[in-house]
Amino acid sequence: MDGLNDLKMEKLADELKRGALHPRNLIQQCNKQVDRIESAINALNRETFDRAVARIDEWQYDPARPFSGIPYVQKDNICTTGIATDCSSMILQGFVPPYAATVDARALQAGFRLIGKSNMDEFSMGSSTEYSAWGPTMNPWDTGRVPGGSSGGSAAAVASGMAPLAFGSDTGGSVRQPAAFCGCVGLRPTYGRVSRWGLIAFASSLDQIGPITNTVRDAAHALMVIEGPDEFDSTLVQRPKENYFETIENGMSDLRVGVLDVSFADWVDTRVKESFEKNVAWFDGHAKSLQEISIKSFDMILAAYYIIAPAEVSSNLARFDGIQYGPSVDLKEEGKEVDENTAADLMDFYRKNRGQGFGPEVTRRIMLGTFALSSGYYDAYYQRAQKVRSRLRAEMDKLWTDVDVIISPTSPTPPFMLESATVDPYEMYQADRFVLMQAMAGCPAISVNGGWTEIDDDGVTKLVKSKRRNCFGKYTKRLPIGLQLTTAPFMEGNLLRAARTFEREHV
Amino acid sequence: MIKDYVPTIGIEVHTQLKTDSKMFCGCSTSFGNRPNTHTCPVCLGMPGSLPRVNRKAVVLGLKAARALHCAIPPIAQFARKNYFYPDLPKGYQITMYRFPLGTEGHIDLMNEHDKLSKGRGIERVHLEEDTAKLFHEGAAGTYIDFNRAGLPLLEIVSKPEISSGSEAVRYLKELKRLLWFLDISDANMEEGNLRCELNISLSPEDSGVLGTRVEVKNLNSFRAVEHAIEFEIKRQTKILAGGQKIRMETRGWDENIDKTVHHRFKETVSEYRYFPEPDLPNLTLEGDIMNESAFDLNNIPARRVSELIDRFGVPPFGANLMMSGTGVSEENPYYMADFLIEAIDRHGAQGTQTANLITGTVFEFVNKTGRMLDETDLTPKMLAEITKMVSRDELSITNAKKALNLLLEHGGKVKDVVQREGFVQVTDEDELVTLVREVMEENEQIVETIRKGKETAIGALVGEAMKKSKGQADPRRVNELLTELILFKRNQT
Ligand SMILES: [Zn+2]
Repeated sequence: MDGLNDLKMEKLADELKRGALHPRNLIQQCNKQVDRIESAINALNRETFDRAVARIDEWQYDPARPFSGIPYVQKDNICTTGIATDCSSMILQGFVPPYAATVDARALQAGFRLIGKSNMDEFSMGSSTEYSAWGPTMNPWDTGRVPGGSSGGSAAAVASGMAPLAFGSDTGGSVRQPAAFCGCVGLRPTYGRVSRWGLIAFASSLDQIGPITNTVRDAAHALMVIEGPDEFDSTLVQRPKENYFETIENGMSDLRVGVLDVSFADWVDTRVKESFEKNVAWFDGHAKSLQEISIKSFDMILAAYYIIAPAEVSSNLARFDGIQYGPSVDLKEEGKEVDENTAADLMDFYRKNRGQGFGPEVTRRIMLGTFALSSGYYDAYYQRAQKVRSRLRAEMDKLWTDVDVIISPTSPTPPFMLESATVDPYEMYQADRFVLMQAMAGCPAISVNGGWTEIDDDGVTKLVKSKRRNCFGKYTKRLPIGLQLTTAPFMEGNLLRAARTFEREHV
Repeated sequence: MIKDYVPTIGIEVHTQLKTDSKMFCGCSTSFGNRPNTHTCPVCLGMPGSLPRVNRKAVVLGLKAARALHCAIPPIAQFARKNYFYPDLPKGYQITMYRFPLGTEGHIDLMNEHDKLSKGRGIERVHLEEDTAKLFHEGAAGTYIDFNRAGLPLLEIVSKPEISSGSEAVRYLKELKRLLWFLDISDANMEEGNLRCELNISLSPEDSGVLGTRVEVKNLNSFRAVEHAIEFEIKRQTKILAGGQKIRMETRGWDENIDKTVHHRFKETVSEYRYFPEPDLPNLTLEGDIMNESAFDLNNIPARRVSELIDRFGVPPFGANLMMSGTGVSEENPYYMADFLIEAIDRHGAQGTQTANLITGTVFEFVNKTGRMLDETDLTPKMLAEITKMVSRDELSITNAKKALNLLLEHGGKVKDVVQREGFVQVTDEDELVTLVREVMEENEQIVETIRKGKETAIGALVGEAMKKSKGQADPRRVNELLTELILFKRNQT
């Protein structure tokens, strides 16, 4: 094999099949890579290599499970039986689920080996993985920059060669944006395709689990492992697994492509525009047709998303009160003064546990959501936001009669510097503008690498000054820029085919 | 001048639905187990768990909504009611808010004149999950039992149209009977699977405005409901008559002192931040689920009682006893009523008489033996045969009851039992005349007193004749013959 910097599931599976590689060695090499770079990247909340190599000597190649023996990383908001799952939050510290998420159970059943739980923005709230109780994850291409978020740990792990596959969750871009920032492939499946059982909820009506990989084909393989009916998720559209490989190499000359007009808006970074322009030119030559499309409600999506998601957050996170999980203060003893470690009464107990257990971004969203749902404000905020969502859905439903695939950048900017977005949360929310409409309309979308840009002066200075090297052991002057493809719900076949066609000619 | 105040009472009933598993998970609903043994990630509210709707609970809820003549909307929607309390593991309760299972109904009620009537209105019927149970152990702390968390509850909210304690109890008793008969709930107040809360307000007569609402909780018997209402009406009247204002508050019923006591004031409307439950799709209330929850509306217990009274001439007391559901059948609570109707409709038994026989004798038997009517060999046909013999004067009522008892106990054929036991009534005129003459000879003194005008003494002679004939004589004819022979003779002389 030619180094671990570009791990591909398919290629590894082939080597395992041919006997050129044993999973023991593969996992050991991943372990070495983690040992080498984890201190600089901080992608993992915990490593599980011990488990990954358990009974590895009994491993035998099984054609029914071609990926058996291949390592993967699980985002730390996806429950893993017997392995701590804390959502990078103080309030869930030490929580060991006695059950596995359906996605994790299916990965294990397919023979994948879990090597670690990945860092994330606390409870997935954030776009930079800086809002983690366990410290930020760094972008493997430039450790002075963020890897995106909230599945930044997963994307960084794949980009830095820790594993060929990591799962993330995408509520408003949390798989696609970090994949774009780390130069990987990030897939958000249709809402209702992949079971949410065992995914610690952020915003239930938007959350979807998706794979982060180095290739589109690997993403398709991973999706086929985790999708399919599951009685434990009532919002799942119960439908059989699909085989995307029947068409994935068929090209896209039959697909009509729509270019989202705001891709060239003034709030989009010029380097992103340049890269995207090249992408558009390529599609012009390969798609059946190309046209500009616009979404009238586009400008309202961000506001609507930041009402609906926090509203659900305020309710989903209510269970974290210090009674069942996480550290909690004591009730004050008779005759003693109340201090920060004791509570005067039940309300004070809740206030202190939650106040101390949640980080700033989670607290902000809980408060936003609580406000939006309050009587007197419900109609003005939550109800109106739902109307925007319905309108967007209707609008997009109509769009799919004209085009089959919509393309846009994944993020309006290249990966930004650490600490540059956390100052102003509203600035950070802007970074999500291209990735929210899919979540709000329930459409599948994929981010693939669309191009590269030179690091600007500021970044280079920092890179040199800090003597940081990227995970490849080299200095690099390049940063990845993501390209996003979107299709109608349950049209992952087209989505993966178009993305694969693009990737085939670009990587 | 003391004004008259009109009470306005609304009742919220929570009843536990009769399902094997909880509302949103597969845990058992069985009662009285070790704490926290019927729990799972879902009912413990563990992170990452998701609810899934118990279809049986929806069917039962719909059945109740339909039995209460509610309008069934095309779609029902679960919602989250958000508040913090240790008995609420998720920090919210899954309930229904804007789109319940049923709205705008009414209860079928037997009124005080034993007539079927359209009872008080039902505002809404909806599904929700129960909370965990807290045990406060003083200094040792508070313990939580999650066995109760997630049990399926049906909330039935009456319109504020009730105006007295007795009316409230009438409503609740009928509701309990309906839920029990339609197999929707065990509806047992003592076990806590039927709980109710009252909203009581008083307003000056003809004022047209509603007074300030007081909530009363902790009501664990019909008696408590009745007394609590009476107490509250008196208490609030006194306050209002004294020129003071009622404050919005929650009170609890204290059984020991027979009074309601203050819990807390509610100065503002509670803030629950309801919103649609994103983890559950809306329920479409058409097609299969409607077929599954369909039933014959004539089986609403009040309607069955009314049918027994009006169509079959059963006295109200007996009709209600028959429709009390006890001692009849494990499977079919209507067994006794069905039994009676079959005896009358198919086998020609006469209504009132059959009803009296069946209610008296059968209930004595089931109470004495603990056996259910449907476990015995008695059939409607046999019952009909017995009553026909009674109406043909072939069997006395006393012996008919004896025969019925023997048949309940040992089974067999009616004819065989009646013959074996010598229950057949003597109606042969010659035999009866001989019997009566013998009795007269043996009781000359009584005969004399009758002749002297004390005609009521004939009863004693009838008794003697019955004793002598071992109950087989037709008492009516014996009476006639005695009258004829004693008094007619006197007139001759
Ligand atoms: Zn359970």
